[in-house]
Amino acid sequence: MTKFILRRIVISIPTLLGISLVLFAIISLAPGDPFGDIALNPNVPPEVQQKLRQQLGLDDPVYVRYVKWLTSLLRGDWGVSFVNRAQVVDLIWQRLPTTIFVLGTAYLLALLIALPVGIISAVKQYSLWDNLATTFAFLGYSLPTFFTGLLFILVFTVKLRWLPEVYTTNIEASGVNYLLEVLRHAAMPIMVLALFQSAELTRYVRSSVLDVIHLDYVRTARAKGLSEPRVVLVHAVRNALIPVVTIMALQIPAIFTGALITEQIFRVPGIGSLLIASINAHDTPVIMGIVFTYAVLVVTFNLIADVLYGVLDPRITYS
Amino acid sequence: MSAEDWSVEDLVQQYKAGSISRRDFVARLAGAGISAGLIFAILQACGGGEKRPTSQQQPGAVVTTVPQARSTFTPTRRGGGGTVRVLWWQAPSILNPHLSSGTKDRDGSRIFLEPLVAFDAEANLVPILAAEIPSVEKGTLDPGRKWIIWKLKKGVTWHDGTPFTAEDVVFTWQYASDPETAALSQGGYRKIESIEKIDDLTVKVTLKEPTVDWTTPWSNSDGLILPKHVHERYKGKEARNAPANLKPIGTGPYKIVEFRPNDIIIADINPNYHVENRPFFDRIEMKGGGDAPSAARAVLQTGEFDFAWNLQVSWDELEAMEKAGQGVILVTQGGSQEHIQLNYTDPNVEIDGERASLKAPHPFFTDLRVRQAFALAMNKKLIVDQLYGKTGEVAHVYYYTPKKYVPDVQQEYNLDKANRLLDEAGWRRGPDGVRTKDGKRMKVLFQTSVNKLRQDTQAIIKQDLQKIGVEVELKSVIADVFFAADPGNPDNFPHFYADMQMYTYTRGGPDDYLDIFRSFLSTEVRQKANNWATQNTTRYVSKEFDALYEQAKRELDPVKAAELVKQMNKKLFDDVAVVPLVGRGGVAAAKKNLKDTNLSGWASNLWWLPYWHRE
Repeated sequence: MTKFILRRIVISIPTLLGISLVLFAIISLAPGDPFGDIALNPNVPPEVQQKLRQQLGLDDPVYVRYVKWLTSLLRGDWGVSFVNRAQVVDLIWQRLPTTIFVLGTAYLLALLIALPVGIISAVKQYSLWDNLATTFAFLGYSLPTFFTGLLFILVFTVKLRWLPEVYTTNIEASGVNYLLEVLRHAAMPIMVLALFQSAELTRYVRSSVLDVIHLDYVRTARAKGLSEPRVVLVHAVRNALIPVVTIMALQIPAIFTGALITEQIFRVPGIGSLLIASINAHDTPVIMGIVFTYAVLVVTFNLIADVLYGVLDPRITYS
Repeated sequence: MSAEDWSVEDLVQQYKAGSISRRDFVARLAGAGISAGLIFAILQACGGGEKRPTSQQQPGAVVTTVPQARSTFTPTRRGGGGTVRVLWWQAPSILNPHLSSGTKDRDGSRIFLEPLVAFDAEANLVPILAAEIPSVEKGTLDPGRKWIIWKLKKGVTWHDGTPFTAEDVVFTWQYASDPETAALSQGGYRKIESIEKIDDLTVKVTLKEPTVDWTTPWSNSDGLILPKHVHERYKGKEARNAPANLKPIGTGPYKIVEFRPNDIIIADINPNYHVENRPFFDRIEMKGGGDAPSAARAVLQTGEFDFAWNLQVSWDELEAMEKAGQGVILVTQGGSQEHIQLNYTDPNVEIDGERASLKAPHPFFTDLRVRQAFALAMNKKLIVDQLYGKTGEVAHVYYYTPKKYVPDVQQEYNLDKANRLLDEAGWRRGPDGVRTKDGKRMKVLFQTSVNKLRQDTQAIIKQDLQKIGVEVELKSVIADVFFAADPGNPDNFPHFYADMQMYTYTRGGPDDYLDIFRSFLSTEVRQKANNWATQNTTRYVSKEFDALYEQAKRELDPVKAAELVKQMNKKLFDDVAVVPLVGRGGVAAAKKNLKDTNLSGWASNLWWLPYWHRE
């Protein structure tokens, strides 16, 4: 096992290098530069423009810039934003709590909905419940978040006036009121994301439970006279959830890197909106910081999923 | 109706008039590749989809033009107003106005930092950190406009308690004009020869050349004064590493509490602010991010915020939101103009590795009659009425405000005349209705940035141009690429690798004609040799215009200078060097109970912040 993990870690190094190289190349090839509307401003002399490009090293060839970025990353230096010289690490830390709170809660909620709904639909296949759940899942899965987001704003903010449209991290209240206010602000983004994710997960849970529910060992368990909940929860679901665990593990990186569209709609100051702002500003160090973190997380959680497989399924051994 | 000849705006009109159903309307928009989110917004703007004839619409939304009285409220103490929440949908990312040219960053900085003077809506100077406005009568302004003496306000302190003095003004000039700082505010300071401290509260500014526009940079966002004791260590190369770029120390009405770049600014009242009993609000929160329509909604419809800036949203949508009764739309006139440039050079011919070279004249835009025909085909009134509403006005000349600079000329909309001119110029209609001459088709590539207003404008212009036998291909480039300055980017506006393009130029002040008219000087033609970093994008070359400009540069008498500006305007108009389209107002929204915002088109939206109050 240890050998397997070590081997995988060694393999992941060239993978990550490759990813970073491709990312850097794409960002450098994209037209546009970090100085926004300089070209529009007759008061900014061209020399200033050139000086700025020089100062940020934008005139160096792409490979020089890449090697510079990589070597400083290896030293633990994530670089500074082109726009305001803030440390990229600081910018990410500033926003991480919000992203983890909103996306983590949404994900937890999605699990709490998806597990029971998916299991019941599978056990009672083609029942009214199953049809309702399937409809819900397809609806949730096929409605994009930018649509449900706007729909929720229309219903809950414009019509009902229950929830604020703009997410605020700066809440002036304390105790229970503080908690309530935080929830009020986070409610819509969480609902939007949970709807989407639970729909997706419900489908996975349902289909993997269906895969096992008709197998012989489940029939044997029933024949032994075990109670139905015990048959389903202990015998069927336990095995059915193995593929679901993998899918969940692979979705966890997203909790750290934010939801681009939903964060934008509700102005949630998370990693996703930082990424959009940085892309718009052509702020390469910040973009690289976020996207590369995402790549590392994906690679790591892939490894974790593989290891979990071995733990959950005794038939799989890594030797 | 083919896909060619309808525009979203037509469709909206038809839908409002009830001549097409909601279902058809949505299907057509979706078919045109418009996103569900946008369709939703359009439907919302159409009044929730009620079918009602346009004639029965309620009267137009209330537009509050800037009030005459600057302050309607005389407080007896400072503070007590609670929190004022403002929404800038482009979020500030740095709070040093000298290191960013973005309005969002300069507005964010304006909460903390202040200029010597500012222009109000009527282009009158109002002292902020200056004790008085320099004038020839008081002996503080050179009749020859070579020097200015600024007397500074007494008793002003920086947020850390250090007194504000002449040293800070001198330092700001040194800081911004140091080439190593690479300050984006540099332009305005370059005309200064020297600044001399006369005493602690008096400076004498000597200019390299006399100019009518002696108030800049002191009157605009280039001129926000920095504290010497804070930034002294971070001058030149180190400028961008100053902690104060993110945590500014200024003289302004609020002190920074927290700044999260691209998200929020939180600032508390400055108990030692230099205006007695001001400000009224105890705290200001500037939230950023999102987009303009939802920012408008957050003030006008849901009332979550007190103020929102730069609401580039179609007039229909704004009007519909204002009916919710929570807030009012505020329009300021600051001289910005949406205009169309016709390329004098051929973007499709490459000479010495350079497209749109001066050596390759445009196949038809070099013919005055063709340019005139194009100008005659622009239905400016329709564009203003349908798209801009009260946020725009038809513009006939390039430098269209203040009125003293505007010659008495008007561009008519006349397709017959346009057709006749093109016939005269020898462009005959082919079998497909498109004009040709000597085997060349009259085909134009018309580009602009991605923006709903601009795409709707493009659609209207395309229809009219087709009627005069021009084939039009529309292109829209995402804004941050279109407006970027990188020399390797062929899609940005400075390269102008298209036949026509449209965008808005913005002004630095009411008398900045020398800066604005640089865009037509033969010495400023954007070419490869200068990395396309100069100002003349159309590549118009005229000796007469150059001569007029030189004359205007030397003219110090404001009345005579205004006459020369009129002549320059007239020359550009006669030559159709550019097609002015719409004078664009700045659009903001404020909650009904937020008073005395006193917006000026010549200053930051927050210039009057200390006097804002809530009823």
